[in-house]
Amino acid sequence: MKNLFKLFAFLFTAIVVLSSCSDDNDNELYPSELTKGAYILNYGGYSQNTSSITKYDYETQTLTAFYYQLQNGGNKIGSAPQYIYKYENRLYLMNNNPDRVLVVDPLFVAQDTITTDIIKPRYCVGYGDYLYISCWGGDVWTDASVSYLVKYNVATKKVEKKISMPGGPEGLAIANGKLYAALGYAKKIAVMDLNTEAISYITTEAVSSYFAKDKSGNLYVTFISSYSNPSTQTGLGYINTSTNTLTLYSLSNVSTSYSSILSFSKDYSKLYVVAAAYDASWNLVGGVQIFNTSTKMFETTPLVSGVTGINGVSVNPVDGDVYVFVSKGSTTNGNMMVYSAGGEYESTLTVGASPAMAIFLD
Amino acid sequence: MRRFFLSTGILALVAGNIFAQEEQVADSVLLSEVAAYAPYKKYQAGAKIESVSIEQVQIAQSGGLDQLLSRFAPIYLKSNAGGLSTIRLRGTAPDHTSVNFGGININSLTLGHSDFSSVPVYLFDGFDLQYGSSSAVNGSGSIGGAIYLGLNNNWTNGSNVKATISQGSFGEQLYGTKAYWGNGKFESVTRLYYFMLKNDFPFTNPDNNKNYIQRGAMIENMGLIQELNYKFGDKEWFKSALWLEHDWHQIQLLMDEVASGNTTPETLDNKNIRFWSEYENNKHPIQYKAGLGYVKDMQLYNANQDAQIGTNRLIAELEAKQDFSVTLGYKAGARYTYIKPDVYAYDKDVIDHEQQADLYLSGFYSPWNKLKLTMNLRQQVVTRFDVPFTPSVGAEYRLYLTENSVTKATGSIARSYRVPTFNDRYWPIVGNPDLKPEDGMNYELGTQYSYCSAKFRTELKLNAFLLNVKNWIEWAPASGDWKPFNKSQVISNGFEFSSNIEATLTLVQLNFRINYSFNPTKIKDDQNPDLIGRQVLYVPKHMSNAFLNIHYRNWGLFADGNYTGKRLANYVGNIFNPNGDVLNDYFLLNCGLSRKQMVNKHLFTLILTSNNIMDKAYYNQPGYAMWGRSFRITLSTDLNFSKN
Repeated sequence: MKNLFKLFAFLFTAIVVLSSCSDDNDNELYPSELTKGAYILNYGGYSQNTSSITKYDYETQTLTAFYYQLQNGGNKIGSAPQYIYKYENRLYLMNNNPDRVLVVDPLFVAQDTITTDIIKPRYCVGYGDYLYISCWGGDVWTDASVSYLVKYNVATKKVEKKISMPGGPEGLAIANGKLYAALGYAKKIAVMDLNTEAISYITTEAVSSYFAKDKSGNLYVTFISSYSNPSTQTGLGYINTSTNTLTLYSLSNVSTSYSSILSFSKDYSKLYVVAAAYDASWNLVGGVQIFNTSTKMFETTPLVSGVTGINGVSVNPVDGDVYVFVSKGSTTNGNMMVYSAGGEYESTLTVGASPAMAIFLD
Repeated sequence: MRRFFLSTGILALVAGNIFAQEEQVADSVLLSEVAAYAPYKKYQAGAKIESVSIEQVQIAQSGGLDQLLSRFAPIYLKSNAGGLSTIRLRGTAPDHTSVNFGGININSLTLGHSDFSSVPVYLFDGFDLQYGSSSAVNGSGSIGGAIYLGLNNNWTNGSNVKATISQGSFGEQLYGTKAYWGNGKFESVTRLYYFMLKNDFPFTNPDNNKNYIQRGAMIENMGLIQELNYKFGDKEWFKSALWLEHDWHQIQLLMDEVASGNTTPETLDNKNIRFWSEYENNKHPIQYKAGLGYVKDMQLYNANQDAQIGTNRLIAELEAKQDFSVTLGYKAGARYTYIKPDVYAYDKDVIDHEQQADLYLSGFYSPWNKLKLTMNLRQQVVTRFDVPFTPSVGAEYRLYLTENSVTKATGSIARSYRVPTFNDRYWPIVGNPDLKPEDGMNYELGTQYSYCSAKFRTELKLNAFLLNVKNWIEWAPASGDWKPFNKSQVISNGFEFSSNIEATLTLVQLNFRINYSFNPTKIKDDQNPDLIGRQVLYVPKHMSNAFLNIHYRNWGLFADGNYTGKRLANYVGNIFNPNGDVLNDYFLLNCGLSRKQMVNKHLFTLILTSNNIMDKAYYNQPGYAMWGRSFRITLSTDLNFSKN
């Protein structure tokens, strides 16, 4: 018994030591002094080869343009990334034209490229050893059945499975052991049980685009009106992930842009949603609306109004600053407008072409 | 025919004091047989209009109009190797150049422009290029210039069959036939072609220095022009031309897509029906003509029948003209166009149809024989849209006249405009009905020297221009989507030099041409202040080309080279050049050998050509491979059974 105890103690100690060694290795390989900052994903343009990463050191307020290129011997990203996601010690960029998932380390040095079954990748989310990647699979606007999820094993670095998911899965979220997929070409939200991979649906009045998960594990989802699926029932939905019941908070002209059209404030009390509104002359101009998560109402005064070309909004988890990304086109640099957590305008910075979102590394 | 022009030119030079003849000298000294721009110049003194030579047309007959222009004219076309090519004439946008087939501007009404790789050189007899604005003559869209697709009227008496087979590198095939039949009054001309290009050319990806074979860039085009013409008399005739075109191509994969191997190429399928007929009566002091046309354009993306993008057009035109003397004349006309869009996305409650009407008046006046003045006025009316009144004036002044030469000074001022496309105005949600028309002013000054002797002819032209385009329309990010805006003001200026020399040395005929253009096109004003003062994208400051053609007996040898200067591909840049990505300049050299053989009175011509013989790697768009060295063999026959 004593020996058995010693053995257990040894194993426990070994596991702890090895685990901490692993963290130490990560810290050594990717020290915070080098990685800490906001990384702005500049989508560029389809077939334009103008995508880039801009690093923003928010402590010193310095920008480093073409960060990816700097870290990769002058090579550009090559294709247009519309979403970036950190999972474990890797970052995954969903690149279009050519279609691929680019895998980089926290220093943005390219590590791998996933191309197997990757056709028009949109978004991804990690769970256990797996990364689930939503793919349109082709002309989903013509044939909604071509879309699917790719199940990628991050340990073996292999695509293990294609899971058919008609309707053009876009944003993904995992909550309560289920994977939720917003569908851009069907008025429903797919819900996949992560154990059985059985898919059920929540019927909606408009097509959906992206999710944000609150502290209680429930989801907010954006509903939009698109060419192929117009709807007046746009706004912000709230899904109770225990019951899968949906509540709609109406908001007109929710942005049809990609991946970062909604973002929680640092304390989760507000949800920023990119949505246009009419100005005094009845011109539809871009803005960022504020949804109060306590009162479940949109505030009457938006964070931003009257700005054309807003692509997305991200919130710095460290200081709560709100970054609003403004595109001026796919061949010219865009802007990042910085607002304090309290909503005060701070500055406008020049970033790359068609900035879409920011990811924050420690 | 060539001798006819030469002798006409010399005669006119000698006479010297007859305006019309002198005009003919100036215009015909080096005019090849198919050049037909005299009618355009009659009312556009000072305008720069040139013809592509018949030899150049023959050399480039296997490809699209983009290949012809990029080799032999100082005009830049933004293109890839896979069947998409758009023109940038004098620094303007693709929808700023009208492409005219009879009385039809074939530019897409939804997109605003033409794909020049889908205009087959083979079907046409000649191409005239007008540099600078001509909206007062050609209507909406002719801001940067105009292209005239020419069909000769031979009034065939008998029959004549021409056939061409061409095989080239990368799976290129051209099969074409032109059949002429007539009795001197009635004439039928049938032109058919089939063009196929597998486009499986090798390239090296500069990102990794690995070699690949291009895939996903196949092109298959076919077309037919059927002419039916009838001549009532020397001054009265009816002409008609029906052009059916079916073009299919894969949207060329990027070099990285070829490398990754997981991308299925998308396709574009265009079907066009274009018909233009014209009755002309010149028997009376007031001459008149009436035209009727129909156009149906249809485009399918990825063969998706549910996403058709098309338009139907019916065009009617009536024109009267009168020459009071050789020094004074006018023409006046009216034109009506009924347009019915057939676009899957349009809301029929918003746009069911559109009507356009044009009234125009043109005149020429020569107060004395050294000076010719012209004027054009046009007012277009468009349903739910205000179009500006569009005038232009031009002048030509003869500076010197000798027994063998003419030196002229030319100048013109022309207003131009472009009505926004249907997509600009009516695309759901993002279409902007409040757009203003693009509004341009073109100022042109030129000098032209022509020399003509029995064995030596030359023409030198130098033109300086300034084109100021306001309310330039571009699509830009708006509230989640992209929308068209009247975004910029662009100044395009510069100068162009062209030289054409023809010499005859006993049994050797020589033709040497040079073109050069300097065109720094700048954004003067823009909604995005970062762009003010920047060079317009895809406009090279420098372009030049040279062409040498030597004929000895039945042998021909030609070589041509073209230089394309650096172009800005975007304003974003990279770590090495943060002001924008620049496409490197390049020089391409082509050459060929031809042999003609008469068998009875039938002509057989064999042409061997090699393009890009230095195998230069070059790019017209970032990421898209272009052809390296290629070869082509072409056999043409001209079976002549004519009585005339």
